[in-house]
Amino acid sequence: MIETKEVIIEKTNTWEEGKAKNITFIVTEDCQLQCKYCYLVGKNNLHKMDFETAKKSIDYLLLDRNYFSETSVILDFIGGEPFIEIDLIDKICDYFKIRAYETDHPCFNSYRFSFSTNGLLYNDPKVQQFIIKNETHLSIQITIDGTKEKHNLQRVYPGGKGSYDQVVKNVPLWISQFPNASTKVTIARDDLPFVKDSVIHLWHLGIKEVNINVVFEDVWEPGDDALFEEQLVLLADEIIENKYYEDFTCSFFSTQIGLPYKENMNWCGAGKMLAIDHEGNFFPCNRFVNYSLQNREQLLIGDNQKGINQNRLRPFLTLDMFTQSSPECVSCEVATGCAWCQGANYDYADSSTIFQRATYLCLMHKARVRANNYFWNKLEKKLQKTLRTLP
Amino acid sequence: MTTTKKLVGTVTPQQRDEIKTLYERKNGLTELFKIVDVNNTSLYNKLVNDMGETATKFQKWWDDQSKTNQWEGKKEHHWEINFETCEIFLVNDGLKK
Amino acid sequence: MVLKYLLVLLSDSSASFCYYPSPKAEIPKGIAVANSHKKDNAFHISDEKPTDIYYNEKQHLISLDHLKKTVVFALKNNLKVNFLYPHFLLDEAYTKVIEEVEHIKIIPFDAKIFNEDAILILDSNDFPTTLDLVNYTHQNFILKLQKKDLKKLDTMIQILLAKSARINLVLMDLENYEEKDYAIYEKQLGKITRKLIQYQNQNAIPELNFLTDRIDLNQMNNCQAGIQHLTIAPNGKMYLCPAFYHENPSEDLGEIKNEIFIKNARLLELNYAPICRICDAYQCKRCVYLNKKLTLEINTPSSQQCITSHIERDASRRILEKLQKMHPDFNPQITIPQLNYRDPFEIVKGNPQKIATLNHP
Repeated sequence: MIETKEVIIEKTNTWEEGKAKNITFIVTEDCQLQCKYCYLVGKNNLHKMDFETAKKSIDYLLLDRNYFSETSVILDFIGGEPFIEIDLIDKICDYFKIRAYETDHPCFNSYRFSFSTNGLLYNDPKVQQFIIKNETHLSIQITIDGTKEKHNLQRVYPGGKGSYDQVVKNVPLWISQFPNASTKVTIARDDLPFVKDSVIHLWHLGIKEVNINVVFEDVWEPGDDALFEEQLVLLADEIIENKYYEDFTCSFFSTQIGLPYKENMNWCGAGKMLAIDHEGNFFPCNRFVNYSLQNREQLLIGDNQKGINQNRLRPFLTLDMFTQSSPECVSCEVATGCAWCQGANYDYADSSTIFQRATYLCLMHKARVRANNYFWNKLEKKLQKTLRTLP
Repeated sequence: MTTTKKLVGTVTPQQRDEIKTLYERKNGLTELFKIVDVNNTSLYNKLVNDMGETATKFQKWWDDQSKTNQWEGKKEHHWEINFETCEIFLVNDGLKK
Repeated sequence: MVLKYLLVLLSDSSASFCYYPSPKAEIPKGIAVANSHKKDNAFHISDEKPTDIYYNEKQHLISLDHLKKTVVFALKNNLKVNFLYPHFLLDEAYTKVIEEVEHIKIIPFDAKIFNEDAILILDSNDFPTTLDLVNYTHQNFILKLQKKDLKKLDTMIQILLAKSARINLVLMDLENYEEKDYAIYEKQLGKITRKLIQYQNQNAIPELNFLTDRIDLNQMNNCQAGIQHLTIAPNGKMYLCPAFYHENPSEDLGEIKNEIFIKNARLLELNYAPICRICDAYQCKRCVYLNKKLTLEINTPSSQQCITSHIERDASRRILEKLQKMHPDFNPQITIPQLNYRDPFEIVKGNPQKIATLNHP
């Protein structure tokens, strides 16, 4: 809440963060786009969920209060592109509401339907009808990657045409319906020269919160870190000079990153959440489904017939930072904020395990930490205020 | 109209949870009402009763809390709660969504 | 890895001495010897049922050449060898090679090869009569207890007590254990405990891995597959343990050689097992095969492994209490505190150990 100026606004908390069960319905593995950086390497138009599968999954989850003991729930709909299946999603949401109410499940008093969409169908009448029908229970994030040049480098149709114009025309409607909406930007190698301009462009579009990360995959090459750092320093200068920090956030800059580890926590929530595929199979998250994996078989933790395989959940629920990290990572002086994706770790590990951390991001993270330090030191100097607690 | 938002009090996290649950339930019931088949009489009747009860409890919470805590009130204003901070604000109705 | 010994599967038909099922002699039509897998995953184990293992009669024995190489490797590296015998007698040429190295023979009881220094494998499916055991007085036994025979455990142990120096119990079908089975196991251990206490008044009680090991232990004493021992299979290749060979022979660790590389070998170590490293059920096997099969991770035990080990730990606690009461100088250095949980997963879940308490070796 901003009451006076010269306040640094912070990233808003995710709804019921840490308290809600996150259940992902992979309603389709199809998408209108073929984004070049997409981790979904096996997208296809064959695997679509049917309503019966969704119903069985909801029935199982509402019944198993040992597994689903949380009193809040986020039903996350992803694809591919989820809004391709808006009719199905509408039926699933209605069924969930009715069954949660009929079974007196506590989550009826605390649920959200969440979407990550490419935005192309946002103004579709059926999508709009759905939004109006569920207006108090929605979280919708349109992915728009920054400037037209940056967006169209990656987010393209089959054939290579960029999707920026079709997406950006839906942004004003989206912002009017979700004024606190945020977007998630992904940075691949080719995008590095456009990082600064892209973040500022998104803010100018009215998107106040820009969550951004570099791809987890093994794509980074020597010199990328320097380019990345240069962009972030330019961005830091612009933010400070134009006082963007009063109204906007960009997740690249945080008071919490670049410090030694104090906690032995896992970074990722895989296993605490649940993803359901078109056959009603359960996964620790969608990164463990075949269409996300290049090297390994998918990793199931149950299905909507037999329920959750508790033994297979045990590694996920006891996975900590230490056990999956190298000694160098554990003792790293700038460790905090260095992200990993459990599914990518599993896909890249030397053996079939989730206990080996991929470290392809190491240099990129260190570049980010240096730029982050630059940002906060400069801002503290300007505001004559201590904003971080350093060790 | 000039928008005003004045901090007039706070509640405990427990009290916040009470009103948050009622608020969420009220919204849930409202959206459920849009899809329930009137021919499903048992569910429909349960829902109608529930909506009445929940609305009553919701109003009672504001009445009780405002009275107990002597929150400042004004004509054409309403109170709002920030669920994250437990703060209560007096807001002019021009801001009401 | 500090190798201390090798396990040598002399034949594909060598009886199982541990959690994996004993191989069956015939290959039913349509069933392949090895499971096939889409991708090349180290330690990949299928949990598809049934888990029967079948072997090919014609190619089942280790070659003399592989056996010789194994023995030479053991001699060069100060390793002992545990030879896992099939149901039939070996040629003299094999026996001669085996006798060249310090070793233990592990032999199926029903092979009827009498050897008082050997470890004999009993199966509750075919438990011997008192008459069958008449010549045994101080034998080491492995008792593979099928779940259906769980209620007979105390009777079987009673029969074996006077015949044994040590009994290693292996709970078969562990993956199928449920609450009712835990209750039976607990009750059975109670009965055996009472018998042991009576028995020890007049006799030296044999070692029982599931009851008496823990009262002598103050640190983990697990299987240590991949750390202290490796398995040489009949194909001359190395594996983490016989179960990994039987499950998927194509996922070997290579030929016998001095430099052995196991991918993510650190996950075999206690320090990299978040549940086990806080646990003091020191007698637990921590079977990496069962771990992989049930949780898909070699460093993560199943609830069945943890719960049965804690039932054993609690029975050991009662025995220790009684023995220390009867003989105040009995193992004063060992304590087994009473716990309010039976699966350490409940403690570790969402509550990782502090970094300061953990060290990379």
